[in-house]
Amino acid sequence: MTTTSDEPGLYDLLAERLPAEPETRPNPSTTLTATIETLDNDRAFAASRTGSGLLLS
Amino acid sequence: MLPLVIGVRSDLHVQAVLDHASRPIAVLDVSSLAAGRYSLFGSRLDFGDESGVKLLWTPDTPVRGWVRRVAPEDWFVGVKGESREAAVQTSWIGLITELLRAVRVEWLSHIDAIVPAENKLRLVEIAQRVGVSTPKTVVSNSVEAIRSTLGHEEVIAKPLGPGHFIDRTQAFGVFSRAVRLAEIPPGALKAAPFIFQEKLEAERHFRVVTVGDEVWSAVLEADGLPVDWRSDKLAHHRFRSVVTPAEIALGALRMTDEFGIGYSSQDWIETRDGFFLVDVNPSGQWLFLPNEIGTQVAAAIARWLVGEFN
Repeated sequence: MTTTSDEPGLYDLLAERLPAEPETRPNPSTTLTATIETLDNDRAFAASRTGSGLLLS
Repeated sequence: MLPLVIGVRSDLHVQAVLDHASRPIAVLDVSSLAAGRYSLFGSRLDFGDESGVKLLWTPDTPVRGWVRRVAPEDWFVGVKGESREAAVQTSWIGLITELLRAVRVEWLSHIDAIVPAENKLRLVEIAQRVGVSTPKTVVSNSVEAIRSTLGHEEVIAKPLGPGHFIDRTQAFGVFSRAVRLAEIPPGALKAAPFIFQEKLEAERHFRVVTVGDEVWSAVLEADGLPVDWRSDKLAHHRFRSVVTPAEIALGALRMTDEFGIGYSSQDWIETRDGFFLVDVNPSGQWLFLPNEIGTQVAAAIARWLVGEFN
């Protein structure tokens, strides 16, 4: 089951392209949550399969 | 005391801590586990790699650890959910998480404290409980509910989930933005839960870093900046070091106490009505801040790891 719809959501409307090199990304916060919650709930992995929220700094 | 960092040596934040340590610190993450030789039996870990690094971690070994990153940032990039690759990569994460939860390690921030501290709704709930001001906050997929709760047409939208994602090879950031509720397309709130907050007029942004009971602050003038200064690359380098306002110091440490985290980087704003906490990052960066802060933060983490202070 997926909750993804073709209709644009705020993730689509508010997203900004970031520079290609990770070290230059202007994002000084990070999250471990996506990875760890994957462990605690295998099904959650489907939601993070693009790698979003994964330990980016 | 065995000092341990979960991360990679090429990470600038890890390097900064290693540079300030009075003795060697072991560094480990899923990529080094995968490349080396390991044996985990109960709470005993025996690890070695080709470069000669050896780590023997037993229940009797006093270990202090700092979790920087459990895996390289590209660990899951391009991996399709429920694929064989996903099963493999998730297995490695499972192994290191078991290490993180080993009972004999004293973590600067335990992983089970880090995870809830990254939840923005939990932040608001705790802040209210301990008397720290935050913007009025609601999560809803109803424009009417958001409007009636916040009492304004223009509000701040920020993702409840990750603030970045990769679509094919392109990375995207999703920063906090001011939106007019009437202009949100029908159906746009149905796709993913977002947080909505009252829009406060920030005069200054504060980035506040805590290690134990120590607090450092840098300030950024808000004039001319977007709502979320992180979306302005140049803004990262315009912070200047300041003495932490007493109200912020007190509030920042109340939050870390409640979350049970030994490290945090926090975002506060100053308005005409006072100081408001907008985010707590239990694994956030600090090296973009003025050098005198960056150095002191790295040194404080290093001293804690080698047991030079509690």
